[in-house]
Amino acid sequence: MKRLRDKFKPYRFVLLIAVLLVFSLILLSQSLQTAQDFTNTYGALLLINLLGAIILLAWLAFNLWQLKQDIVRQTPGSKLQIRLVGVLALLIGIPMLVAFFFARHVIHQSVENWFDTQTEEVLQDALTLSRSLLDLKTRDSLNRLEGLIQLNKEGLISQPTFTLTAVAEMLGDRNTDITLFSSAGQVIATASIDTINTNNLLPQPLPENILQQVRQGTPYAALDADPLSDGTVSSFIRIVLPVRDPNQRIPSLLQAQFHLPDELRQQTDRVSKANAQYQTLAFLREPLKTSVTINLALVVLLTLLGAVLAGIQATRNFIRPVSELTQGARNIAKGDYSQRLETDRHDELGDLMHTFNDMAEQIQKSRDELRRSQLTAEGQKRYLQILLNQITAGVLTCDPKLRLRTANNAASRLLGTSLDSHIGLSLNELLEKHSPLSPFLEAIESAAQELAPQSEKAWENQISIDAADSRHILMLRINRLPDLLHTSGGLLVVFDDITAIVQSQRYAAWQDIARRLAHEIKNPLTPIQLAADRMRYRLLDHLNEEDARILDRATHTIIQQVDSMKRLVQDFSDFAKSPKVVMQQIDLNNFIQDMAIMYPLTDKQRMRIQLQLDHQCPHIIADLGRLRQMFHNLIKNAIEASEKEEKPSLIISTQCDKEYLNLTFSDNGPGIPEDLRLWIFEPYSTNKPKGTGLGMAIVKRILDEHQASISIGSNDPQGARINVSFPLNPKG
Amino acid sequence: MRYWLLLSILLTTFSQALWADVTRATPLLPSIQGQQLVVDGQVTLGMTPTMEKALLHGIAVEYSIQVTLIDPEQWFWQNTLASKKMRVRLSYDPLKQTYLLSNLTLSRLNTDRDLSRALTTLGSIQSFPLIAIEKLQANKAYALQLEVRLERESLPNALRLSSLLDSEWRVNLSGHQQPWTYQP
Repeated sequence: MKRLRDKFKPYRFVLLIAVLLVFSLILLSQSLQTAQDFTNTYGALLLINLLGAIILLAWLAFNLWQLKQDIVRQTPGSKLQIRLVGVLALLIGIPMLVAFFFARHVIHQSVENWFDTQTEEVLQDALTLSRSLLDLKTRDSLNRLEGLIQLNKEGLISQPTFTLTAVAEMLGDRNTDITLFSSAGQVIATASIDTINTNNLLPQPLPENILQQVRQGTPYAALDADPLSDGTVSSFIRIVLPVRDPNQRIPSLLQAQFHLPDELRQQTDRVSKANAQYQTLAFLREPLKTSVTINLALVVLLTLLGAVLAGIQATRNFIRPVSELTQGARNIAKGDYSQRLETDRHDELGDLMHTFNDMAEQIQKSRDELRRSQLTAEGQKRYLQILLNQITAGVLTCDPKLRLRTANNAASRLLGTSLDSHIGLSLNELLEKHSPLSPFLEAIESAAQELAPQSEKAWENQISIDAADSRHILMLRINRLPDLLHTSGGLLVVFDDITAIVQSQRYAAWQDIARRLAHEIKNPLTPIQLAADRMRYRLLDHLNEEDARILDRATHTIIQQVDSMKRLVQDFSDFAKSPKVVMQQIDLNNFIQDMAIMYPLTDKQRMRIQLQLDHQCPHIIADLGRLRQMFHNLIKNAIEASEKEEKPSLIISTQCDKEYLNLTFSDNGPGIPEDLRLWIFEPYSTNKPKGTGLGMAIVKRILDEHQASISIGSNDPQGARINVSFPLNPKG
Repeated sequence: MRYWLLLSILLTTFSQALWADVTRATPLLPSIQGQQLVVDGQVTLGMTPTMEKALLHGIAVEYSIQVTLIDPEQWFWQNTLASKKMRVRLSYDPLKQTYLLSNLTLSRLNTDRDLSRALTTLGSIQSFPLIAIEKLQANKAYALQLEVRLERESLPNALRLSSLLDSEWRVNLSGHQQPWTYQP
């Protein structure tokens, strides 16, 4: 029962309006027929029906507007619904219109068939015959009355009452009233024979028009009707004649009222009534057609509107599952797999909706599985990424087309550029952006060419790339990545900066050489110098002037060269030494001020040393002796580099931040060429004719012992700028 | 035209006053008789050719003649002091070729062979009692309103709808007002 109620729920408004309109139409029809109770409400009923039609029309317009909006919004099923509604409207409308015009034609024809020319003529003839009969009777009565008046006119004047009774008896007609009026219309005498008008004890006065007519000498004879007290009309023949005296004057008027015999009266009344009814019907022929047409049109219009509206609702109900299915499919296409359709239908559409729900559930399950797998994979990928970022070696991968796929933080750090923003770029594109990486990228391309697909061997090589202020040595190990499709996989590139290792190895080698040189050379130098001195001391005075001069010059040269070799050996010795550093808290500013005092301005030493110290800088932890050696080397380099300057100067400055104390040496010399900056810290690398090439190598080594870094740049407007950064909190 | 009836019926129903009436009336003549205000007047009831044709085809035509006393100082929905209606009927007897004149209010019946005379007779307002004078205020201005309406419900059912739409059946007289001051 509830299901039935639910099914009819959408139609309740249509049903309500339809029932009301049908009821109203019935009343309307009744009011046009016989039911007198409804006659006064005809206009209201017509208005109600029209209002109902207008409401239905408005509702239909609203529904059509909704359909249009649905089409504009591309609501699922809207086009199908408008098509169904159109078809339904045509299927309902065309037969109804045909039925309307057919019914109208039949009704009009039926109305026309009521009327028959022959019947009309017969009725008219009957009426004419009745009139002729009555006229004949009237004329007969007139003639007889005129004859009697002629015979009794003297008596009517002299003895009116007696004579009037005698005239009545002579007439011999039953149901006759005779009245004698004066010329002024006053009743003089009256006589009745078997009159049926017993209510009228006194005769009615003569109507003024009859009185005037007869006073002028013209008789009056006609079928008249007198209203009775009961509301009916009494039909009678009225004859009014003038009564003339011998002088042809008219002293009185005689009226005779001949009441018609019952049989004749009934017959003529029936003829009159039948004719009147027929004439009424004939007159009402067109209005009747109009009324019927209007009522029929109302019925058709309301039925059509109700049917179309019900059809719209029915198609809406029919289309709803289709719309829901379409919308559900769209939602699933958009990724909403939680879509489920509610239905209590038990037909094919209901089965389809249940199947759709099953399908959506299966898709959702599969999608959840896939998502879980993706999450697991992403977790593993993140875990791997974290691991990769934690290791110090650079790791990057390329796809088979040598496009960068992944890179860890160490790779970006070692290559001096953020690779995250270059993911997806090919090696060539990467090369266009970062030309210094050319050796690195070329190595990868070489490896890609050399490593066969599915090869498990590793391609290894050592390359150098130039950074802004130094040259880095990278060790590369490149492997083919496995590919699930068993085609040529990508590349896994693992690399590390081995500059420090190589440098350490080189230092160790140089230290070994220096130690051997110092040991092999230093020992014979002193006997050589002493032998030269003794030779000079013993022989100089015993030789002639020329030989003495040669000896002096030769020994002097020997002694000078030995001194030079001693200094060289001392440098070797210093470089080869690995003294134990003694770290302590040092106020670097005070240390610098003390060092500056050791280089006063003299004729020989023309360089002016200026200090720009940040006195807020904290102490650093350093070995005082090693620090002094580093300062000495750097100041000495600056002095030697600025020898040719007119006003050589050196600015030593300090500046601190949270992590580092930055020490800067800025001179106004010729500066250090850029190509030299890359290997200036290598032992025996110098561009000075008398230099040993160990000064900066020693400086670098001392700074490495202090976990400090050094960089070389240019001074403005000229000269070199050497920056040294001491960590305020060194490790270990 | 018939097919446009549905659309025009509302307008025609509510716009009767906009159409020219053929019913005419002389000014009402109020007078005091005894303790009553009575009015006399003469209405010539409208009769169009179509109505006359209907009459000759045996269709009776009924009119209502209504006289209303109005207090103009009141709002229109409560300004009616007294209202009296007289209903008359005119029919034709084809056999006797006579018009039957019925005053349904006064229960009077007359006959006449002449139509114009019959219409004048039916429209005669004679000593029509309206209101007791004790309900009137002396020297106060009132208005007398005369309305004549064709009673469509008396027409045959099939004719009612057509009479609503056909101007030949519009013979109503409305808005006929005249001032009147009660002077004892």
